[in-house]
Amino acid sequence: MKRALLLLAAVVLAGCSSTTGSAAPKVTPAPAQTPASVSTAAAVQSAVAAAASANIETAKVTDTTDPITVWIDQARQPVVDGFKKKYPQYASLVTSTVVDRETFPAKDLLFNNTGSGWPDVVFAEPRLVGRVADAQHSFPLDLSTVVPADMLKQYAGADNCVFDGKVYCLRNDLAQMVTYYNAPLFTQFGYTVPKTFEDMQALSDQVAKDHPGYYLGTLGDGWTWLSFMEASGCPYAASKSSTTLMVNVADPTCTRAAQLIDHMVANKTLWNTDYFTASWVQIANNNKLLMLIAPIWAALGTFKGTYYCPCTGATTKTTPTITDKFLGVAAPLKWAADATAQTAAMGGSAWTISKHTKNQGLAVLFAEYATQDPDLWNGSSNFASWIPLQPVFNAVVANDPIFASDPSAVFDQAGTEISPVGDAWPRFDLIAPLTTVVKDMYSKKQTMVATLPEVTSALTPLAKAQGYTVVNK
Amino acid sequence: MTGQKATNNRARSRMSLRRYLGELGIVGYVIRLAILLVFAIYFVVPLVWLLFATTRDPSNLYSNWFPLTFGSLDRLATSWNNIIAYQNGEMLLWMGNSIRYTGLSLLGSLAICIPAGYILAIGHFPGRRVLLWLTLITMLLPVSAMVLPLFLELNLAHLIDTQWAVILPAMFFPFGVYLTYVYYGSSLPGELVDAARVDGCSELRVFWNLALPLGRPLLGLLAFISFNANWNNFFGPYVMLNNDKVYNMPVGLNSVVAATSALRPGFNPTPGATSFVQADAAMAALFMIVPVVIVFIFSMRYVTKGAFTGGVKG
Repeated sequence: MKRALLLLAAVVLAGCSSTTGSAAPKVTPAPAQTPASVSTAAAVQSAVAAAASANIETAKVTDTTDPITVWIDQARQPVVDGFKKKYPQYASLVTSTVVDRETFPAKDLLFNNTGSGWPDVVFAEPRLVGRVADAQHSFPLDLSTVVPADMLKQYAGADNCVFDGKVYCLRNDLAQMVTYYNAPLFTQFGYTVPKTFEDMQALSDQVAKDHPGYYLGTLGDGWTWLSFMEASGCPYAASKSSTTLMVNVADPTCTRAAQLIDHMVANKTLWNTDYFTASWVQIANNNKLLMLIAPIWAALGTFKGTYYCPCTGATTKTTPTITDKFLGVAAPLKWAADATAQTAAMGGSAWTISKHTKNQGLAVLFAEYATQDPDLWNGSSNFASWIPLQPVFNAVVANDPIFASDPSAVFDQAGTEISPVGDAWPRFDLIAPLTTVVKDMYSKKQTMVATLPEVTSALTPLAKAQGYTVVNK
Repeated sequence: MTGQKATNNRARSRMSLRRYLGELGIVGYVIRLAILLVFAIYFVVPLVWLLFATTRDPSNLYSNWFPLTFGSLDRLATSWNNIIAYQNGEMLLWMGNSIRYTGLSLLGSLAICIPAGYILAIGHFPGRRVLLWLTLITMLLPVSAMVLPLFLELNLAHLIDTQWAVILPAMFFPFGVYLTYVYYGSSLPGELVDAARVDGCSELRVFWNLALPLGRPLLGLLAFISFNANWNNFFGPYVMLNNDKVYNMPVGLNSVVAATSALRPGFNPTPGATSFVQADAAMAALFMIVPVVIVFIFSMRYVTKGAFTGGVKG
């Protein structure tokens, strides 16, 4: 009886995932799955639903009259709608505002000046939470005082939310980078998927010689720069404490990554933009993208529907299609000299709660719902930080026709290999200055090795402005 | 008779073209034409591209060899629907807010700056020069320098997140005061004002019955400049407004670009969320541009006439 109920739950959940919005991945119809895989998925999802629901009940809403304001981006609107549906008794108390969250630290300072106006819950990356956690901003509530410790332990990557020993946010998702490759092209050209960055460099020479015009990656902004540097363990901005930041781009780990970049720029296997620029998308649409180090959400959020079509309209004849099992996923590359791989993370957001909120219980309940609710997360292209939800994501990708093979084990493993440098951002924005450094390299026609000192000169004043002592050891 | 007139006109145009070519020479003419063409392309192509962008899918937005091609009516309809439905119709709400904020700011700024500029131009009273200097200095102050004190002041009056946080600061229009001062100072003969006074007009009546009708081109020009400034007002509202229900169009457009997938496909999506693409952002941009174009077309006569204000001293 119990097995039958689990099977029924699996069918219902699979049905839900196939009817979600355009951003949701398509799950392969039931006939393509074996009965065993269906029942496994059902068991996992049902267990997750039960566990997550039980944990959500821990938030105590004692004040039922004070409203809360939630700052979100447009993509988080279903979270607010879902919460109101699940908790109709609180629906009238929750107001959402779509904001440009990069303004969050500046607006917080304004509210501090006026003594009012703070939002109660904010969807933001831990790097932004870090920026509002200092004494000047003094925004977030220490969640270790309101969320049980055993619940906090179930958030992967929770270290990102800890500042000076205080838990200032609940992680929403992890965005570890993995190695994506075009499986049919690798087979056609007889290439082997690289395991190390040295392999990648050798492959780039081979591609440049035998298949010019095909690309193994792109470097055009701060994020793509991090995909190389953090994977090498480069201490370009490593927080040693809340007051000390190490900026040391002269470290050999930085130099080797820069040399690889220079090598691939020179042999024209590295494109020169970010992941979303039209020219790069066109390369992918023209089936010239051989390999790319990119975050986990790119699989279902960018390869599917942007790089690989049908997008939302006409496509070229050569564009890979999302049902053709084009997308191979390999583990993050490591350097031969290193014992283990490290990988950068792009994104991976969180929910933070204001210490000024007048309805702490409702704010905490909202954040717990947003990060733990299995119905909300079913079909998501994000890799949940809430560990019990991760099998839900894995069950979805295991059967997605875009993948050449089941990538879930690679995704899981990569989640444990996020670079400690990328896992602890300083209290200021890194992406804008690093993007300037990358663009300078191209505009001045320099090498990355020659441009690396610019990183120090770009980051040092920003760090000092935030009260850091900058060291190079 | 009409035919004869047309023939005469054609002959006159041929003669003026010949005289024109004679002055420039054929090479000079071609060079001038080429320069004008380059500037026309430089300014017009982005706008035309924006128009076509609303009709094209992300997959073919950049891929066609000729970028100025029409996509499909279906895509246009989808862009329209996505933008109209954005956050339960917030785009229309922002459009309404923008019209209200702009209208009230425009009326308020004209009501303040025309009398102020007029009295500075024709009046002689202690402190006039100081006032003029202050007007000039405030005209040159960057908006960003004023935002924090304004924010604190409006917060004190509990006006943050209300329409007045946008409208009241926008009524302060020192450029309008200065332009009015220049206009009346150079175009309104003092003898005319004296004659009206001798005839028994009060100062208010001189302003209302004499200065204001004579300043009609100035009024049109100021109205257009004020409309344009208020319609595109971004930084002030960006700081003063935190609730998306009271956003104006520029702040709303910024949130569409910054907080949706329009320009960052696939970045951290959620199941069930509407997926926005570049065509939707282009449609939102058109929502902002079209009203300015319409207002410009209707006020063009005043704008060009008023633009020569103060050029010739009468």
